[in-house]
Amino acid sequence: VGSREDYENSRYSGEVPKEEDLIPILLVDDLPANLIALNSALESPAYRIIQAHSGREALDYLRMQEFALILLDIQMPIMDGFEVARRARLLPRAKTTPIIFVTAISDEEKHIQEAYRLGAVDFLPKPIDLHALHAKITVFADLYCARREVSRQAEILRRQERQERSQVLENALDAVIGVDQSDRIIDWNKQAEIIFGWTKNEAIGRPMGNLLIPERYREAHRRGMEHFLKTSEGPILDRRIEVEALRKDGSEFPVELAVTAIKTSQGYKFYSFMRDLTERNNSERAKKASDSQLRLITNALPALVSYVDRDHIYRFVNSAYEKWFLHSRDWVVGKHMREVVGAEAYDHLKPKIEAALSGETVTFEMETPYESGIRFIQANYVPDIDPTTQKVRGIVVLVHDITDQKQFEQTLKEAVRARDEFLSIASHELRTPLTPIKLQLQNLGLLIKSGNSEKLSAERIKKVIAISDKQLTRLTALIEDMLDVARISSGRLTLNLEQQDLVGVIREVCERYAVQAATAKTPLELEAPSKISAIFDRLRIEQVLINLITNAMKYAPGSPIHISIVRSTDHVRVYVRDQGIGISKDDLERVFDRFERVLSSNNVGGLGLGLYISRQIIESHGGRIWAESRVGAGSTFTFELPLKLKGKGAAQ
Amino acid sequence: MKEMNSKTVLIVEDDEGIRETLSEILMEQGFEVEVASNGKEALDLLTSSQNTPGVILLDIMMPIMDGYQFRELQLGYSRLANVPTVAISADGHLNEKSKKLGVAHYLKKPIDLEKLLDLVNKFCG
Repeated sequence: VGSREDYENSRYSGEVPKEEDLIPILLVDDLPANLIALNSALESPAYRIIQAHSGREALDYLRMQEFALILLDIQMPIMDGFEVARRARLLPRAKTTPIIFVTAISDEEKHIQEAYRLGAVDFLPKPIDLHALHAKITVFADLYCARREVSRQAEILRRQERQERSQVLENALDAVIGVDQSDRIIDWNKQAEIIFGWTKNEAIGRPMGNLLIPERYREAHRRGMEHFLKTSEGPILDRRIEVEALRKDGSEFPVELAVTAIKTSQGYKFYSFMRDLTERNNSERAKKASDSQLRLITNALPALVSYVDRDHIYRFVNSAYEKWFLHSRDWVVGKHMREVVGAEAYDHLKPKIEAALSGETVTFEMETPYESGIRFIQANYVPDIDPTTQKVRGIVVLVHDITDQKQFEQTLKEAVRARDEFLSIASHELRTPLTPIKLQLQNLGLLIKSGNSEKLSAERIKKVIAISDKQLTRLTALIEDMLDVARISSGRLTLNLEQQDLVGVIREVCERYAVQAATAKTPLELEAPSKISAIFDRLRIEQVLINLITNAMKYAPGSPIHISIVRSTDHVRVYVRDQGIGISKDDLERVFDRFERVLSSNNVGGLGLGLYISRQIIESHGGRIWAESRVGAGSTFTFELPLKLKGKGAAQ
Repeated sequence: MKEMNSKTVLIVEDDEGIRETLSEILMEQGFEVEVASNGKEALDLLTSSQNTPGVILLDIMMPIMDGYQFRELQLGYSRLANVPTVAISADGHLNEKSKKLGVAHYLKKPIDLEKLLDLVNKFCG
């Protein structure tokens, strides 16, 4: 770099005109007189004339700016016009600038050829014809103006396009942030201002990593960028990912991010598109919260609750489904009903589902096989109707397991039936002893009325009293039985426990019933050790024994009743064996139930409460009672009492 | 065994107290009485006798052979089929049961003596 060049730069730099619309023309001649002549010839407000006194000076101008035209003298010392033209063609701004050579030797053929080869457009012979000069210059000036206008328009278009693009980015719903390859922010749109809190002015020029990325991720960000610049590998580029970002106030929030890299002449630029997910996450959380609330409520219901869509697919199920089908909720949801309930059940349900999907509320009961046996269910299908379109979107399914209820109803029905039967038997049994009493008393009345004193003897009256007394005893016993049952039902059966000899008590009963037994041709045979001491309620145990003996007399007339007492280490057993008709196996299980009579009610009288009461008495003593029988070979009723009290009896 | 005749009342009843009271009172009233404690005994009596009784007082619920079974067999004998029979029972629905038994009259327990005597007088008087 020479000092002369510096000098010339400083000398001419100030003279470069600012007015854009002037047409610049370069005059090159080594003779100042020629320059002055040309300059004054071209004097016009439209032109801006630059004069160069040497080839070198001309090239300096050409390097700095564009000209509409060059008027170039060929014969110059140091560097002639051809050389200037040759060098000018290498400069970007002068590559295509029209050159008019000014020469006195234009007649020489070889000069002309050389000039055209160098891109000359014309020749002006010296001395210059001013008219021709003006005409030629006007052509090139116009050409220059037209070209300049085109390029200006193109520039305007380019600028508009850039502006539009940046306006689009500026107003995008996503935050758009551009950074250069050293992570400096070069672009920052409105949305970026909104979601990050930094204004464009604050953000531009600062490293993005420090501004937007939480500290714990900054190192990874830096390394990722470095890695990309080295290898062009960017695993996070051109994908949507969710990351945490930093606001101006230091708070962190979730964003969805996509980054794209653009290669430019100044290296890479990275553009990030970011969307604030806080709202979306909040609404997702709200939906999840309302889902979990719905689940909480439906899980608390003692019913299967689900939502089935139009394609018969479960969209929601409560936890009762998991317990019922032994599958997780996630397994059931999204499954077709057929797959969940099984093909057979589905075939049964399908018409009901279709009815519900046509807008009808369907309620039905059905039996369904289950692991533990048949269950009864009651199902309600309620259509979910879109309030605006009135179309059924799906059905809400509510299923109750009513097995227990059904069983309870069944038990209740049986209890009612048994009670009705008992009342009918009771009324029959109570009326029977009333009949002789009523007849005897009415007869007595007739006798008194007729005044037949002969028939109204003391003997006759005594007999009426005896018969009435006997029947009243029967009535009392029946009523006593009924009261016992009432006591047992309400848990008021109390025992009067005493340590005493069981054999003695049983022997006494046998003696008491000896005559009656002999009359029924069922003599009582007792086989027992001399004494067995036990703790029991004497009257209650007598009641049990009498019940067993009278039953045997009723059901096994004509053969002896064998009673034996056997003691073991901790209990004593009393066997009452008859040789009667026996009891079938089915009946054996029922004989100790309330209101059961083995033989149908039209055969043998009685309330059918004896064995039921006996069982309650024995169990209250902590013992047990059972029957063994073979049809046609007789029955054995056995009760067992503990020698030391335990269980229920001990508490009483 | 006494021969039965049109003055005879045949009592078929399993309950001893009722049976004896009925027979005593009816005998006191001057009727002849035969007793059976179930349907089978009654049928044996009827088939072994030359004549038929004036009326049969028939309890329905009895062991061995109940009133229904007795009626079925009774109606099978042309000689016995038309013997007036009065059903006696402590049960409700005696009206329906009487229809089933094919009897025209019934007495509900506890029996009213006047009604009983009216019926017996009607058939044996």
